[in-house]
Amino acid sequence: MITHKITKGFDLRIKGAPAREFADAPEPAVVAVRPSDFPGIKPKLRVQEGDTVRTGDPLFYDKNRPDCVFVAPASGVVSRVALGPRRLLLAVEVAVDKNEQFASIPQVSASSSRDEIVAALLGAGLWPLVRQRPVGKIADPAARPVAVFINGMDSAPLAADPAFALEGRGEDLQAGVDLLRRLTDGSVYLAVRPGGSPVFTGLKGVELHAFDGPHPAGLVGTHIHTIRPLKMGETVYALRAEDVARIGSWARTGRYPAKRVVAVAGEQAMARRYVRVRDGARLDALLGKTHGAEDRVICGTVLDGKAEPGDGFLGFYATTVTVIAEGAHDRELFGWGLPQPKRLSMFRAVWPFPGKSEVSVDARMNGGHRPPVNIGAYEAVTPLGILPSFLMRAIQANDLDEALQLGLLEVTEEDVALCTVVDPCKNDVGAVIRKGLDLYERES
Amino acid sequence: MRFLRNIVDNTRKLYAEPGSKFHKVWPAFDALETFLFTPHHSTPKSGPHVRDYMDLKRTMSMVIIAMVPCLLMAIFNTGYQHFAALAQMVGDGTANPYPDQVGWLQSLVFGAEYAPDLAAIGFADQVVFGLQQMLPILIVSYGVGLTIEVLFSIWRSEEVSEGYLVSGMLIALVVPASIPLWQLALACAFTVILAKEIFGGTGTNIFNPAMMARAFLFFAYAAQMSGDRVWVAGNGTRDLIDGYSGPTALSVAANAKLAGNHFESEGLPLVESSVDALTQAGFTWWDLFTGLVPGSAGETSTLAALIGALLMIALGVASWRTMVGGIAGLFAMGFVMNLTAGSLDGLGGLPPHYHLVMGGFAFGIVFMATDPVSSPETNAGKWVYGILIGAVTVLVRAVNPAYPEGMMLAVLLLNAFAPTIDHFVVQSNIKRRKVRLG
Repeated sequence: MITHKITKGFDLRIKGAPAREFADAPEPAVVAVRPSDFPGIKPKLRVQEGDTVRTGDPLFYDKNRPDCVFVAPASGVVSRVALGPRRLLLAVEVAVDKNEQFASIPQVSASSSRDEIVAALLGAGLWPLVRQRPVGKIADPAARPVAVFINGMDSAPLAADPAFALEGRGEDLQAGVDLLRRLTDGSVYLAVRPGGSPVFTGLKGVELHAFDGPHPAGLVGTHIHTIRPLKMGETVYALRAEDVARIGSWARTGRYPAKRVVAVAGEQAMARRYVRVRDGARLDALLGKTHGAEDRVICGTVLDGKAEPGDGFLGFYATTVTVIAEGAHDRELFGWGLPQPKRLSMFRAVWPFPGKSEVSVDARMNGGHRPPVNIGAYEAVTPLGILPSFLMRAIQANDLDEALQLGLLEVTEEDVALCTVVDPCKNDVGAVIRKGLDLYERES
Repeated sequence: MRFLRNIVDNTRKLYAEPGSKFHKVWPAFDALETFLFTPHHSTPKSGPHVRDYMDLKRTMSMVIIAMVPCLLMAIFNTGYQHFAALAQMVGDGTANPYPDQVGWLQSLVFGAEYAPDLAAIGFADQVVFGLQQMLPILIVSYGVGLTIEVLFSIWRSEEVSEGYLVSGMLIALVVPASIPLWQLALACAFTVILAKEIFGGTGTNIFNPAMMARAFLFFAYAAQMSGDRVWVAGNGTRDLIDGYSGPTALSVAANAKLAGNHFESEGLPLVESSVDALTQAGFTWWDLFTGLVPGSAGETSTLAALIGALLMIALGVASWRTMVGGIAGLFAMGFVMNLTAGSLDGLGGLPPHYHLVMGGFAFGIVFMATDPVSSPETNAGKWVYGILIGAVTVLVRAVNPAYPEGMMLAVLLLNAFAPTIDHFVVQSNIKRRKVRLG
């Protein structure tokens, strides 16, 4: 195992880490699958309200790639097809039947061909778990990836620890890895925390790399940059270790793996722990209560998640659900000038003696939006050798060539999330990066 | 606090919503509101949900705190120079202007018949005189500049940016305490409109606004910004104590002319070197370091600038690279000038550590050169920029026959080249990526 030390970055020390214990969430009455979880797809319905579906039956598919289907995570009756303006598909809801039945999906094994494995994953609704770099969307099944990156760590604040969530899943992981090895002619890399949990170190067929240091040491963008930087035109597939285990479990049992482990975290969450829950479950089933407008329920971490209403649904990719206070009515008198020992900050100007203690956070901007004044904050939290402010400017000037030369394809919004957090001028760096990636996809 | 919050919440109704009574001027209200209470905006529903507590208000207020030592020194030194010059002149036979000419603050504090004993001037005398000069300068600088900034914000319908809070203080500290206030007002208006707002306001200006204000004054009203007579403030005609000549250390050293193997300074006996010229004129290195010498109000004290520099570096609001680079460039060019000093006037022969404490260099490299907007953004660029500022400062001082203060011109020149410096750093970043990725 090779250990890489990441020095630039910033660990957000936030109160509300999940306890290292498992619990089972009750079976939800309703589950939902939403196209908005999958950036870039054009959803086309396969079912109508009233149809009966089994776990693993397709609900809708991507018009651009019709064999890529999105499946029901539970058996039951399609209770609602929510459409938005211009008949945009918002969600397909399924009223859950206690009698679970599974769709029959063609089986593959590690000895199957690449095409068979890809087709089976697509048909099983598991292909969306495979994402690609550059651009950071659902992987192109036709691409020949130069490597597969599996992420066995998460350095985001309060994030679920894959090593803990996957305890005892060694065989599923191995089965998943065996399938993934068929997808690439290159290596399969697995990034873990230093020390390495036995669940990972025992795996065969992967190249282990340990990453030490502050966030973003645990992001796949950092791993790719460090281990196998991409040349122009190259693609890699990227998966999280949890998802590899799900693919492995499907390969071993032939059933759609509808259950997964989600860490419930954040100071406002009632019970903070790792919870086994069904995909697409309503969040109140997971959280034990319906949070009101005074709390922000985030599917994901505070850096990359999506806010959901208290009665919303678990997102497809979320391995963590974080609940923090909105704080919309809290306003501090002279908050900009007085020393603030108990606030989240990277700067000594906020509190001159930063310690290791954890702080409470809420979802406020903590300042007005200003034109960019660069006091070196972006550079201090970006280990990728890019110049974020110049990359932003190139994108804002619609200069795609310059943006590509400046390393646009090495990043997605999660890689620059810290820049957005620490910017004193409160600019949204991630939104600009996504605009640049969209421009790239349109022009290429 | 509850009481204040209620007032703010009730006032919000008058301007916050489109169509409300004062909505057209909401940026002015918003500036007051967010001065009192942190803003109430929430983060977007996707993307990072939390934000650092640091904002631009805090960034700028930290710089202002770092300037407080310089401001205090400006207040004290203005009074100190005034009474020191007066004592010398009265000793030489000039009539004592007190109690005929008493300033406004002096008469408020000490009474209209104020007649200080020039042989035993107290701390209070000096501070009151200093405040009497500096308070109007600060009020005019902030008053004129902020008014125009707020007007532009209203016009653009944008939140008022905090940049001028630093510029206003900088301008007050880089002009002589004797500056006529109408000239200062013009300079502030000039710099806010023509050096800043027409380029797009805070964050998009090319030149440091405070340096532009100083440059404007220097070229438009040279008589009040240069020479030997403006650096000590007086009462009455305000700009000077009539007939007093108090040159700065820079002009003393600049005028130390080569004569055979000796330097001679105007009106002074033959000297061995420009350091001797300084010593004979009463300037030791230590005086120059502490700042009890004539000069622009806040620039004289290297010590105060050093305290400010350490504070800003510790708080992470200014680049140490620019500062260290500047000092390195100053020393390097100082040594080069020393080697060729035989053919040059006095400042070229000066040991480099004198350049560090003379004129506006220390203040400029700490507070002007580190301006994040007008300096390069890349770390490598900051090194180059700092080194060049230091080098050009000494070059101007040593070679330019007309004007011994090189700092202002060096900063403005390098402001203009900052994007070019960044360009080369960015190109090298691109090249490095190409090499790495093949």
